Amino acid sequence: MTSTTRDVFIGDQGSRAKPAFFSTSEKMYKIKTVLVGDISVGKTSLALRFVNDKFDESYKPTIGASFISKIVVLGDGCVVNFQIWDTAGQERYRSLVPMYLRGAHIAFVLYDVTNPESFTNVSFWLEALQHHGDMVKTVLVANKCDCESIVSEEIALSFAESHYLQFVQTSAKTGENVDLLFHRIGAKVVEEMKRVSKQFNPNDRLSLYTERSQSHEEEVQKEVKKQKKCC
Amino acid sequence: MYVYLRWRDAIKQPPKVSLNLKRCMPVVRTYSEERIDPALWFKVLVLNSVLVDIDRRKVFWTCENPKDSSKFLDNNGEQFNLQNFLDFFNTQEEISSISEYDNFEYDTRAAELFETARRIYTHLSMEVFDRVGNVSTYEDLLKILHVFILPEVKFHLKDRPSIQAVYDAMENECQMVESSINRKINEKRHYEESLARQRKSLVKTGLLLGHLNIHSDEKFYTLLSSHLDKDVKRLEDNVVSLTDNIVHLKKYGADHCDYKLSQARETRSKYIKDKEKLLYVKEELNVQRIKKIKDSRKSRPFLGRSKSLPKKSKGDSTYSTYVNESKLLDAASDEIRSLINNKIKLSGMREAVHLTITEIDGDGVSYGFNRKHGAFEAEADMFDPKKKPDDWMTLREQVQDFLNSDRSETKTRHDQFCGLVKTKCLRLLTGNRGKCSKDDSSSSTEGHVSKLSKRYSVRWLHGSVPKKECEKLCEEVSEYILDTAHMMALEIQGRDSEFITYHTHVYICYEKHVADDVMPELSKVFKESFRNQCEQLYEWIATYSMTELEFITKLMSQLFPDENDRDIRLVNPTGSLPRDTSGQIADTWENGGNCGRGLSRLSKSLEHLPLSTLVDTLHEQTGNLAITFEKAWSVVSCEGDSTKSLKSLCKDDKIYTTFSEFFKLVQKEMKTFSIFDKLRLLSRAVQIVQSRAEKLLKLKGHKYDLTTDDMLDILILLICKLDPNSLLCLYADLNLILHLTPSFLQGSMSQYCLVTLTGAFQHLFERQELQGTSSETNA
Repeated sequence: MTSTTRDVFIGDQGSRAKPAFFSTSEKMYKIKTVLVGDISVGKTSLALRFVNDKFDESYKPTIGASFISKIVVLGDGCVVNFQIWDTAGQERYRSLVPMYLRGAHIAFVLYDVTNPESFTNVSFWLEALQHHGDMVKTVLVANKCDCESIVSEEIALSFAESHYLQFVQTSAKTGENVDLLFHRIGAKVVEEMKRVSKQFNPNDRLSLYTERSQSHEEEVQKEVKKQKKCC
Repeated sequence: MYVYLRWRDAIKQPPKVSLNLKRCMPVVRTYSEERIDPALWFKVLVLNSVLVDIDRRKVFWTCENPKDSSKFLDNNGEQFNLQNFLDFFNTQEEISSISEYDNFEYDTRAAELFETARRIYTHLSMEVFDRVGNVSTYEDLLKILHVFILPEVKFHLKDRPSIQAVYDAMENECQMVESSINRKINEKRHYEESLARQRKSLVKTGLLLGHLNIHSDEKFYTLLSSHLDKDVKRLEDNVVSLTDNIVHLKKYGADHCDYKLSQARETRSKYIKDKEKLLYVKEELNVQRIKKIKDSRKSRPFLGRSKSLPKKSKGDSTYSTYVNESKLLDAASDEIRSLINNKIKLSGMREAVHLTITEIDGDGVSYGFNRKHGAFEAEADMFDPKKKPDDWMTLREQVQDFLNSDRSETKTRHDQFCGLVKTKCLRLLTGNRGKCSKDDSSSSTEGHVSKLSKRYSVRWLHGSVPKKECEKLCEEVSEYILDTAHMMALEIQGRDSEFITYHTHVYICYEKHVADDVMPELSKVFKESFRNQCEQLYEWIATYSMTELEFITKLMSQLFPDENDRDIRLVNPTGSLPRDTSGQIADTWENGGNCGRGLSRLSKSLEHLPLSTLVDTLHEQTGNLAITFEKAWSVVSCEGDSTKSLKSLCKDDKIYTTFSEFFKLVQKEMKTFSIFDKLRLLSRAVQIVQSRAEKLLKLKGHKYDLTTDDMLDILILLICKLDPNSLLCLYADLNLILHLTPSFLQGSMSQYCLVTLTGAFQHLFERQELQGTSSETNA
């Protein structure tokens, strides 16, 4: 897009008006992804599986398994940087979880299919998300699906439906559905971002720094209500 | 030197970059750049190749010739193998500063470097770069080398032979230039003397008078006239100088100076006579010229009619010889000037090489120029990194440029705003001193904690400066930076599709300037606001942390499985002495060192200091070794088993030695002003904690990646080890950063570190509160 305001210079057109030294010609979508759930449900393993399954030398600063950044190219050529935040799962740190949820685009709520208590606690995590997370996509993830499931799939599915959540069964151990989960949900978030950027008014400076405009929030809410089907 | 660019797993090689020593400028094929200071370009002669890896956002360099290595070929030894190529460079030198800055996502230099490299890569097709005049791509290549890469290349001892060879080559070149200059000076002198002789002859014989053909000899006239002017000027100078000499001799000269005086007068008279003669000739020449012009106009009633060529004058051959020799003289002068300029540049480069060798011999490493505190500091005129074309300015320099002029509107606005913030801070600090605010709400109380008792929320809000005021100030600062960055971005770049990215980069660059001005005052305000809260926390940690933070024991047993190592106390050994309400160091020794009858709360804190710190602290207080020893012993023996105490105090240092870098970085963070620098240091601190802990666990046989739960456990332990002042400064800074962090950092690693560190503090506050509530209930 060539700007029509390019000729508007406040000062001397000399050095300051020279073309930018750099520009970001390759657009990258940064997606904050939070993993929530009880301790030992496999949050860290899921993140590590996603990152290490197919070793990628791309630039990714990490802090152990608690913060991981991975750049992937989605099917449509979009470059996405998943900024994966592990959250504390222990009881004593539950009050801190809201701090981790702010500004997230995706939340994966994990439970362990072999641990019914972790499924029961999903409600707690969802409540935290409702109060403190303004994310676009929330997915209920049934992890450790390579093991014999104690939590009924039907119950989990029905729970997900009743909370307008998407539902995925994964195994961080075998890698089942892990890539798919990130790629599909990532693609949906990118779609949302593109839609928002189309609505973006270039003259509205403040909206540059607003995570998501209110109208967008409303749209997202509407869409969430529409999405009664689980994937 | 060869440059390799890697992007999307493919390698491209632009034409060889070299340094033209004769002209002292870098060259890429047809493009050369003379607008820069070439001092650091000697590195091009030392290096063999540079790899700019856009995929991994890293830059490598080597003095080895990779082409000599067959490692780059596949197993058949036929085709180029990328992995072998990368493996080779992985074993070579990496410019760590570039990747280090880039890791934290908010350094604009790396973004500029890799974006330009990507642009070069894209434009480098065989069709395009073989075409003569591919100026912009070659210019970009020299730009990234000059601005980002060459200044960061750090030589080591192993590179000394190559550098010495370059130094020798420079010496030779300098000598060659020197002799060329001398040759040209002689040449010039020869022409000058010849022309002076010709002028003298012309003036003497009066050849030119009456014979000058004004049309064909206009050039000669102008030349001669200017030369005569120079002669007159030289004679005038001589006259002035001799007059001064005569005055001096008359005033101070003795009798025997009469001869000197008469000689000087004689010479002066001769000069005056010569000068008058020259002035006469010049005037005559001028009159002749005007007359000729008038005559020629009369003989040509209107232009275009006269087809006759001007007659050849008698002096034609003399004139042309004079004009030609004069041209040769000018050419010689130009060459001398150019050679001198080259010599200056060459000397600059030679001095840079010399400095490199000296530094390598002394320190083992060298960047080739004086570099202090991470900033460029040019030594004399040897290397001026700022000397480069305007359009090579980095974004940081462009933003700086806005504030350079005292009269610029931006600068005025900046000064006014910063002054206003400082005044507000001062007002808050003086106006609210001694007051305790309980009317505002804490932003950090979240979740189930808010359901706690009223006492809980009240205790958290202690502070002489209301938190609402702090937040309001931060909002104003953020808004101002955002506005100004927006204006600057518009002015620099204009609004285009990359405006948002550009705006964030300008924000990062400009924030530093605002932070340098207002951050010291803002930090003070935040510290005052959180002082009471942190002091209470410190006391709580000293008293209750061992019993209340039960998970610490488990953590310690994991990190330090050796049984003795576990006896580590959760108080700071580096802590400054506790202070009383007036800010004075509390006197806990009124009982003459007898702590048996219950040490005061403050002296209890001293119990936990490591022996070395305890002794230092006490000695600072008493100034007497005997008293210091007595008091230190009394503190140690108070614990019952003195041997055990001593042992545990020594073990206590293990945490400090293991995580010493964390404590150093935290201290460093407190001294920096920019939010982005603070975030970088805190992120580094958290990263180091993670890597140290993982290493420690691996040594003990545990092999797993640390989760957020683990990170929180360790950070809580480390926070407990902070001295009271650092505890306050860190917590105040975390809050300050939280309020000033722009939203474009949302989701980044630095944000994660910030949240985790704040979370560790929050957990401690919660435990303190819960313990307080349960004590109240029990009571």
